[in-house]
Amino acid sequence: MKRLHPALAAVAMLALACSAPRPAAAGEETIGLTDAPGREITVASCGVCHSLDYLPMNAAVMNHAGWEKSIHKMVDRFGAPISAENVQVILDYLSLHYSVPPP
Amino acid sequence: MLTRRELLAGTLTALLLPAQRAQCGGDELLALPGKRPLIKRTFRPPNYETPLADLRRPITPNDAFFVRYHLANIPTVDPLQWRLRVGGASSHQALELSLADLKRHYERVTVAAINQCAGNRRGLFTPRVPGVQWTNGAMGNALWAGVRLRDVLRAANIDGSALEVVFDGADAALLPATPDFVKSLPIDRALDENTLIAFEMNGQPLPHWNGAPARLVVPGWAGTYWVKHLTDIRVEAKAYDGFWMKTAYRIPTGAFPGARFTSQETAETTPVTEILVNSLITSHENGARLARNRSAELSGWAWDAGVGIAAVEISTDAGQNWRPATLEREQGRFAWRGFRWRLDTHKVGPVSILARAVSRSGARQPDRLTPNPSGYHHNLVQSVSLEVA
Repeated sequence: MKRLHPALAAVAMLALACSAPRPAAAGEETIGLTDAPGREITVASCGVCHSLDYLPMNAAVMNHAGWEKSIHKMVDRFGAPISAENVQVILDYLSLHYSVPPP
Repeated sequence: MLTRRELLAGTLTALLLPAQRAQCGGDELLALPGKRPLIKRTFRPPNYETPLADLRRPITPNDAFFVRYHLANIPTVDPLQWRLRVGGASSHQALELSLADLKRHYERVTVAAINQCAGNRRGLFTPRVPGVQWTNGAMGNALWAGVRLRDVLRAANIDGSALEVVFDGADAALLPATPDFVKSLPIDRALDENTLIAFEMNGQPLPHWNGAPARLVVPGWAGTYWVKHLTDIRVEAKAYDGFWMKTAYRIPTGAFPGARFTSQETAETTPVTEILVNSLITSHENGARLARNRSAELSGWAWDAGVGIAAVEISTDAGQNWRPATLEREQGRFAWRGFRWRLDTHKVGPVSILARAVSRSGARQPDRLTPNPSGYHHNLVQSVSLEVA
């Protein structure tokens, strides 16, 4: 499909406006991310396009450099509307809580 | 093509239906509407893999078949309203076909074929790589029925300038800036008699989560080309340059065997194309216990991109010696082929089994993986450790 259907565009914009992920798939509301600074911005930004299980799923593979690459892919390639300031917040949060511990 | 009501209905279905939940080791088993519980990798977009126990039958049931999406806007398509548009710069007769048109005007064909995600077993790579952490179940074997893509392309009156055929489905991104999931095939593969526009799977209409009402079936090629909810086919004289061809689903050039996709190849990278020779032990999970002196049989599947399986070799001494397993009858060269091996249960203690498939062209599963950044083409020799007690 070339263009986003107006109804879905509205839903996506609402999601951005409310800073909450939706439309959600049944069950994804049960995903709990580590309660720490940066969590809310991470949930609101990443959850616009995908469920948050992508984050713990990749935690065993990722580190600071990996998350930096991944977040920039989301912004540059997938068009995620995340400010530079929030990119840093998300990067810090994921590097600290969803990364392989440094050797 | 889709009404607002239909789109919202699909979204609401995903929102409101309660999921059945269960645990299976560290994995969560969840049932999407119309599916039995599968291993949930991600909720949205939905990525669910088939548990080993559901890969034991020659044909993988529709409700057990894996689900793989890249983008989360997945409409429920009304098969009566659905239309397939065919055109492009190398076509001189634009078509708009309903499901009834496809069934009425084109020859119906059936093919048994493996549908395997390029990233199947990504989660088993060492060192690990990011992406959906699939184990063994991002694959299945099914009977696909539909019409030949080439018959439709001939009706679209394509000329000699055709280089690639580009496919788009009804699923889309949530944000306008996200690249739509669009794939292309080289013209020769598009014109292959085995490439289908399929509307049935195992004798039933395609399940929603597997591409209803019609999807592309490209036997021997990785699942990424099997575009679901197919809506647009364009025959073009130049290489398609979208994200999902130029950036995603690529491997180092020359690193793997398989068909070359020359119009998409660069000096550094090339698209994933054909699946590699591979096998899967389905009868036993790692760590399974066997009763002493009770007969036990190891079994599983072997497959490749369509050359066919010549042998499955088993080693019980860590790869020093290999002996042939018994092969089952072929279900077709694009389907998997069963193998069986009588286990020796006379001695108490650990039993280590290695299994490797050999194709008719002599390709054999490797004992070392070829590293690649996205974790494609995992076809390492299979191993299980059992215990006779």
